[in-house]
Amino acid sequence: MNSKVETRDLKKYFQTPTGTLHAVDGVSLKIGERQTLGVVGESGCGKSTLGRLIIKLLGNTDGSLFFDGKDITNIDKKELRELRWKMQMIFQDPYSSVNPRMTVSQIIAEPLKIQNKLTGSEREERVEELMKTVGLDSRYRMTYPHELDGGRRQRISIARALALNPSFIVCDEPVSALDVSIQAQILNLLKDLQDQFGMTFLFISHNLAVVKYISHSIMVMYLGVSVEQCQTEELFGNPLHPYTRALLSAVPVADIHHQKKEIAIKGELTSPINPPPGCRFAPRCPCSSERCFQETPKQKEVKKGHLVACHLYE
Amino acid sequence: MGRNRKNSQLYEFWKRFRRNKLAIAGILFILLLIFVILFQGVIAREGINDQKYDDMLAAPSMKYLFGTDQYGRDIFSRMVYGTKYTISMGLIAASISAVIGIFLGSVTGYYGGKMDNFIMRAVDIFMTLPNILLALVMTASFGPGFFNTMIAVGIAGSPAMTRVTRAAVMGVRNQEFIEAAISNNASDMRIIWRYVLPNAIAPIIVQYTMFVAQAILIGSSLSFLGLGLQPPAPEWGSMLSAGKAYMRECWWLTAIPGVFIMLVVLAINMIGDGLRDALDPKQKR
Amino acid sequence: MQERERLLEIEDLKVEYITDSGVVHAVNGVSFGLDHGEIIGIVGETGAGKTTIALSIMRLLQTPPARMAGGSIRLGGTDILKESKKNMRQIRGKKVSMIFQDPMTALNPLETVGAQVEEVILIHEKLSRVDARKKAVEILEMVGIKGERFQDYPSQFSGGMKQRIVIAIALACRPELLIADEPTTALDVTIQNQVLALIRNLKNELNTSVILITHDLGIVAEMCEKVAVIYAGEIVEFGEIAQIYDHTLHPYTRGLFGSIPNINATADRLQPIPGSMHDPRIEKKGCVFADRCAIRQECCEKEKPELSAAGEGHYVRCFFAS
Repeated sequence: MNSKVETRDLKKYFQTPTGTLHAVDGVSLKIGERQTLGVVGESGCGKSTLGRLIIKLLGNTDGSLFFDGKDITNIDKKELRELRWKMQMIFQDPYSSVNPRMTVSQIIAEPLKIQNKLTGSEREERVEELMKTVGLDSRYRMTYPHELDGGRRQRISIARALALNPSFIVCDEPVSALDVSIQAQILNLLKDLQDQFGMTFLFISHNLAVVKYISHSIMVMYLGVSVEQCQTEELFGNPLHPYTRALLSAVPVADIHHQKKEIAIKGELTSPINPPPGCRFAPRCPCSSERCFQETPKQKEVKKGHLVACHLYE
Repeated sequence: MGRNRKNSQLYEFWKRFRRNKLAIAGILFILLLIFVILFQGVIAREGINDQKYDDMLAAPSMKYLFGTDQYGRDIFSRMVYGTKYTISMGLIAASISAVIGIFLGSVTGYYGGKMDNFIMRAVDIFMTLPNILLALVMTASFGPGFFNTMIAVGIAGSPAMTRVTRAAVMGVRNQEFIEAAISNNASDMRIIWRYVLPNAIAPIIVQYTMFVAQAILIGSSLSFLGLGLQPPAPEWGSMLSAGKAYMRECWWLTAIPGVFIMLVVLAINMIGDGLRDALDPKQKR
Repeated sequence: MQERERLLEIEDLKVEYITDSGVVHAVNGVSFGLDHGEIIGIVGETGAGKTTIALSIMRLLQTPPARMAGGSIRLGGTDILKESKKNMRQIRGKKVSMIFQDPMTALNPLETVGAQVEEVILIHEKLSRVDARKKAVEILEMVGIKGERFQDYPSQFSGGMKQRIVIAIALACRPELLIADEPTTALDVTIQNQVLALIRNLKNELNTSVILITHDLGIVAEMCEKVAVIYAGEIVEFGEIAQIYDHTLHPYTRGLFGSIPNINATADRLQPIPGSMHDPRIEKKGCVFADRCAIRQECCEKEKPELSAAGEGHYVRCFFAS
């Protein structure tokens, strides 16, 4: 399988007054053409930073990044401009991701206007077409975002992202601010768009059920590190990392006959600033041993296509 | 179709603005003053420097609508001729401060970093000095005269404008729609102009209108100190200060220029409020 | 199930918001009751009126813009809507407490957490400072905060810990009713689990009644005995959780279940409810859900269905639900 996007040992550190924050600390991943990779993790695990690194909204500290097989780690401004037409992002907060001073059609037309390849009337036509694609009634063309609800705003955001036919889209928690009934509409829309246009998605979310629904494969992140990566069915059928297991057991299920296997994990996220050596999850892990606190586990393929970073599986 | 949209947006803006009756009143008042400036020769009945020795310090009457001053000059005519100085001092000086302040503020607020540090420390130093002192030093070095005073007052007001703009810009800068614009290859110019400033405009307008008032007063003080307009030019501020000595006996010497300065300031403030609301599409009902 | 005593009885509650653009009927004739020690879930989407109900019980709605347009809220015999402001201050905290969604803003950042718990105790109980402090430490330990952290400030705690402190403050005076408004929405799943377990344990220990407001049907399944599904200010379905989850009747409730991806099953496609909630400023003649409903008939647009019994203790507001 050809990989659309690939990262090797990608790192992003931020300098803070109290030390170096390891936001993304050596993530390697591959996303196949027309595939969706789901990234799950709790707040502060670096999943949003990862998304921004991949579409180069942020520069990485170390490691390398490939797009369509080409190394894009260090590219010049002109190449970056060309690259950006091909990758887009859909944001979490439908309230802050669109400019409140622009009308719906202005927002959607903005990338077309900047690229400046179409005439005014062609642009109008394209906007109309995009609104149809994402299920926005054309009577909203002249309205401002604040007059629309969260779901419709998210559709504007999606239409804007689609405007230039990108081949890769990072979706950063696109449904977590929406109500369940709207959430399902948007998830279905994203699925349909992928089928229709053959795009590749990196789908970031904290919601395991949502990620399960939309992704082909999943990466579980904990404090800047990928702890487990595999196909979706494999992850839910055979979770290996203790953190993945705890996460799965913690999700409330809307079924009163569901038997909860409680795997309690102690305490809360430790600080990503100047993290000590060893496994990041060790202080909360129910199976941690001496070794976990001294030696950082490497991510290994324990089964075909199933990568885990844990000393238990060596 | 494109033109149509522009028109309808302008129309929307006007519809929102029109709802604010106070702002309309402010506009009408400023229009009235502009009318007065245009037809000053017709409206003013007496020359500004005609001294009537028989009618010194005459109270307002049908003959002298606003009374006369200590030299027997008709205050009404002097007010009429002084309008252009006051209005242009307020608007032009505030606009100069806005141009400088918005430029520096958006650049520092948007880019941050070393340049931000450098410019803002300079602004801090300037802000420790009172506006009037800054303007005073600058007029002294540029030389007296109305034009120089306006520039000096404008520059003196720009540090505060820079600060206000920078704070507003920084509030907008981290919103996700800025990231979206970056990933759509929008140039920095376009981002600042189309995304950042329109969303940061409210505090800037408030600062602008407040500074119009201040500029009028600073301009007047400079005239009073002999650095701005030179007497006997009929500037409202200098009329106000010249009348101080007679405040107890002849109220009209101070009250009339005072009230008019206040009205101009009030009108500008009301227009500013109206603009701020009308520029915000959320205000549409 | 053993007989329990009635604690709260809400009858035909109507709350409106007067806005520039019209009157919003936020809560439109909501009635339900709650027994001692019972835990009820209120489920609905943004703007359905969940929080307005909670704030009405607390009498914390700003009036205006809000207006209590009718109905009554009886808590242990007293009508809360008729109490004076002064009495309400005694009732709040002592009889009914509320915890909010965002623990970050619910605490005063400039006071130690110990002092904040102590203060609530001092307001409601005639205790000396020393005794109040002793009790505050006790309560903090009950929610899992060690006594030595008494002098720490809120910023020194993580989100989950802050929510524990908020719960400690809410329960400091052993209120009979606890209203939890999306208490875990701002928290991560693993932390959410800890906080939910805490609420459940404290409820059992103190025999507190709980109203749990949430949009998450999973949390309700884990926590609640009864559920009220609320849509556009009206209860559309009410019942024991077994009734709601296994014999779902109202098309809206069904739509909600069809909208959530299930972690245990592989669904090919979610079945979302089309459209979005109608504008609450426009009063609707017929059923509030009609324009999004899959089984609507002509009469749904014209006539408003009543909340009627479909089984013992199971109520549904639909003509065609059964």
